[in-house]
Amino acid sequence: MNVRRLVVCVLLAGGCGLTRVPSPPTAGTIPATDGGASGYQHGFEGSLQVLGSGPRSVFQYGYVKRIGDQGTIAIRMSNGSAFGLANANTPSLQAGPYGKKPEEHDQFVKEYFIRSGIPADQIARMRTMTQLDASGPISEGRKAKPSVAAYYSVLERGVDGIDVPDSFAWARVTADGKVVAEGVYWPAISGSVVTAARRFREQMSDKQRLAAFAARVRASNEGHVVIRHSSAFVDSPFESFASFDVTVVAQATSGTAVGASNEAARTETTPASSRQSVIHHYDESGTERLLPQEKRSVASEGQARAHKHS
Amino acid sequence: MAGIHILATIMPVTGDTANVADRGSAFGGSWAQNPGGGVAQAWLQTMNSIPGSGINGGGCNFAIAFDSTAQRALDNLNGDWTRLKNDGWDAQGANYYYARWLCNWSFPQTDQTGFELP
Repeated sequence: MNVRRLVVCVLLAGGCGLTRVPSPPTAGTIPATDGGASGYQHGFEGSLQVLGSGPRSVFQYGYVKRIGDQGTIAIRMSNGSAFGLANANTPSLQAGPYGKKPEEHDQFVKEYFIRSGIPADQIARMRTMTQLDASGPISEGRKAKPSVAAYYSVLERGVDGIDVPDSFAWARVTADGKVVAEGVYWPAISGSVVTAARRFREQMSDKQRLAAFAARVRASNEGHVVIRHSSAFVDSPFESFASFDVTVVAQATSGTAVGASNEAARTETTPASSRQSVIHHYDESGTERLLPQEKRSVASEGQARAHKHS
Repeated sequence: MAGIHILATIMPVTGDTANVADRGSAFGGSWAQNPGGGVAQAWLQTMNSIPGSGINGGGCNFAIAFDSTAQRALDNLNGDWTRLKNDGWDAQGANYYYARWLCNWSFPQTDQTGFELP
């Protein structure tokens, strides 16, 4: 092999058959430090996601993937979040939802993820999402009748009764028991964070301490203690902390109304369509915290600008 | 529809839109995960991966396509990320529509008594 060919092979490794697909994170339980909450890593092996024939491994856009002719499972190498997505015109998407009622769909999904390795005691509740379809000619006077096309069952996470709203495990299952979409991000939570959250919850259960804390941070005392962590869609180092989350409702055009309680805002005459809610996070010291996904990144903005001008 | 393939938006019903930081990256991430996946479906599914479904209360993520024929409207609503870039599929009229929406509650009914159609 001459030097020129070697250089071309290095630069275009895929074309020379040298591309190496990295191994995804090991599927199964993610151990936590003492007193913490173990996590769960979803993997190719246990997934019921419809892929179709001829699945192959690919590393693309930061995801290691199994790609078939009907769908893909993609695992984000930076944080382990996993997503299964059917191709747009896969016939399985036309099948109706699993079960005769939403509860049966929920049960299927719950058992699927527990069997895969999600700790059953961390499932705080199930949430069913309903997909409806409707169609018709615009000229038709009467409105078309919508039909239920699918259910999505979402496992919401809790650790010792404390919600962890940034974690999720969800799936859509068809009438014949095939998974046509799924998403899992269930990272381990350290012992120090779980301990801090328990302590914070205990403090906020005292009405006087709660009122004093709310006054100090100029927030409503309608908040609650949760564990927040990095989103499934950021690549920065993992962060988690115990938070007193407060929802503030504001008019969409006027920015955030700091200190206005959710209920107070609802009593205003602002139309619902022009309102939005923002969740603020306060740690035990009363300091407002931002999650990694809530911080503007100079680095990523710089990359975006460079890409735009390249 | 001036060439639009799909309109995708949030439809709050009893709640307010939550100003969450990762709604856009969840949606865009679907392209990176599977460029052959449906764009409208990706928008609907963002609800499942963001805290509280991204709506403070009850609501839906909604997508609709209009076109000159029913088949073109359906094809656009089912279109993938590659098709989205093809101007040949720009809407040529607004005679027919296909709509699809995902609501953050359990809804076994199939008539119109539980909600108002858009």
